[in-house]
Amino acid sequence: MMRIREYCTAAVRGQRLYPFINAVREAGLICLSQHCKGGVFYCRVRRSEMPAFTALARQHGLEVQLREERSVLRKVRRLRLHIGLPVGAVLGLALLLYLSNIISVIEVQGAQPAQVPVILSVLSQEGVERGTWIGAVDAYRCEQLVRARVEGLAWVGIRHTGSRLVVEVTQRTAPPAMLDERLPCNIVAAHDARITSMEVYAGLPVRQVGDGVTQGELLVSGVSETPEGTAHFHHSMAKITGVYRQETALTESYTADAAVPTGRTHTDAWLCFRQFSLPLGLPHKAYAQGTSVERYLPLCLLGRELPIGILRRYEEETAVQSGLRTQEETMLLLHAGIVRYEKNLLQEVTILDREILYDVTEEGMTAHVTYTLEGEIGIVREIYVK
Amino acid sequence: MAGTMRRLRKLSYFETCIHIHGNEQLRVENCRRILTCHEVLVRLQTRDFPVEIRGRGLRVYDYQDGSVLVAGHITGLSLGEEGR
Repeated sequence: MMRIREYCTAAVRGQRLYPFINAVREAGLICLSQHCKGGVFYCRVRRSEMPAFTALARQHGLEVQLREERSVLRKVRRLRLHIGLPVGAVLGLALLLYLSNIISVIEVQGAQPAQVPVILSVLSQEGVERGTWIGAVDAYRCEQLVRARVEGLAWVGIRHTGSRLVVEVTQRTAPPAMLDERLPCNIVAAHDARITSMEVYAGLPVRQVGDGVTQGELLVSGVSETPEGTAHFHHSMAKITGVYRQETALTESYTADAAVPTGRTHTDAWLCFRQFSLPLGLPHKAYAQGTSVERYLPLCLLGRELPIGILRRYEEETAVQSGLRTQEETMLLLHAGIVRYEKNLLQEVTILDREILYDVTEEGMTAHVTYTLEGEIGIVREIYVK
Repeated sequence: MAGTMRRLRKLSYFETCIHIHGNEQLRVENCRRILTCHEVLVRLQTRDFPVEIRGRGLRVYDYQDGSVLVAGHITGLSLGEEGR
């Protein structure tokens, strides 16, 4: 075990050993582990008392051999000129103090997933984000702002535990939606169509199945009149389906510009700490055209993310190459567009028929699509009554 | 007169006092000189009589409080004649 205080092991040789031993006693020097062996006196003396010990030995005509023992103070004495250690200790202490007084993570509890970035954005506008000094956070003001700027919050509470800022929110309970079943309205046709079915729940039907109607024509009336001439207004409800036609046109050009990788790639990396970043490698000139993908890998300790990490950016140079498509390729693209159109816009209706006419020009190809659809044609039109 | 001085020394703790802790440590208070300091034999001179300690691996520790600590494997202790 390494001792704290500095001691020297002394080996004293000569003729007058015992007068010397007693002289050491009388001189008041602390002398440990004394023993004589083979005419040599061995002992341990404090390093600070070694000059007096040596002088006393010389007075008695003795020869002294000294050996310093390992000790903590000796190590410290040897390292006293190594300023890196105290500087590192001070920097480490400063870093510890800094990290324990800044926000390292912001946790939002009780919020919906879509609200979390909004809340963080509001806090960021107020200067509260990762790296902010905890003492500078005005929690009351932030609570008021978050509650005012984020919809659907009934209560907001901000507290911090260590360097973790916790934003607790409570959702507002929305009142039930008001029903507009008592609003006076007619039902009119949304398209030029032929009626295929009618289910009238309220109101007076003015058309019947098989009738052809034009766009905006009244289908179910919400107005009734008494024999005395008094008008009554009702809320009309009906499910009216019909067959109608709808046209659309999609165009594709023969020419196509594509970004093709040239094969040159480069990866940059930075050591990131808060808003500071230290490049890990030589600087690289950005490509004139290309794609880049960034990936941030935070360092973790005991499952928690540390505010330090490595940001990698993978860059790939591309060049524009112009090409020409054949008619078949262009037609395939048009078909893909038609499928996409039907999937997105004609999902709620039944497609009875589809006519496609291709218009081929020098620049490209246009597909004129005429659909025969069956679907809901009645739309509610309010009656404005003074 | 000698009896009075002895009583005074006793009252003021200047008498020779020997403590033995098992067979590993022996402390002699009010030791005047170290006569022999060997691994198998340590001889000390107190005010009144010499003390002889025998054993193996003996070490003498002097903390300058007037006492001497002898550590090691102690096998024998003998006290000399008073006044020698």
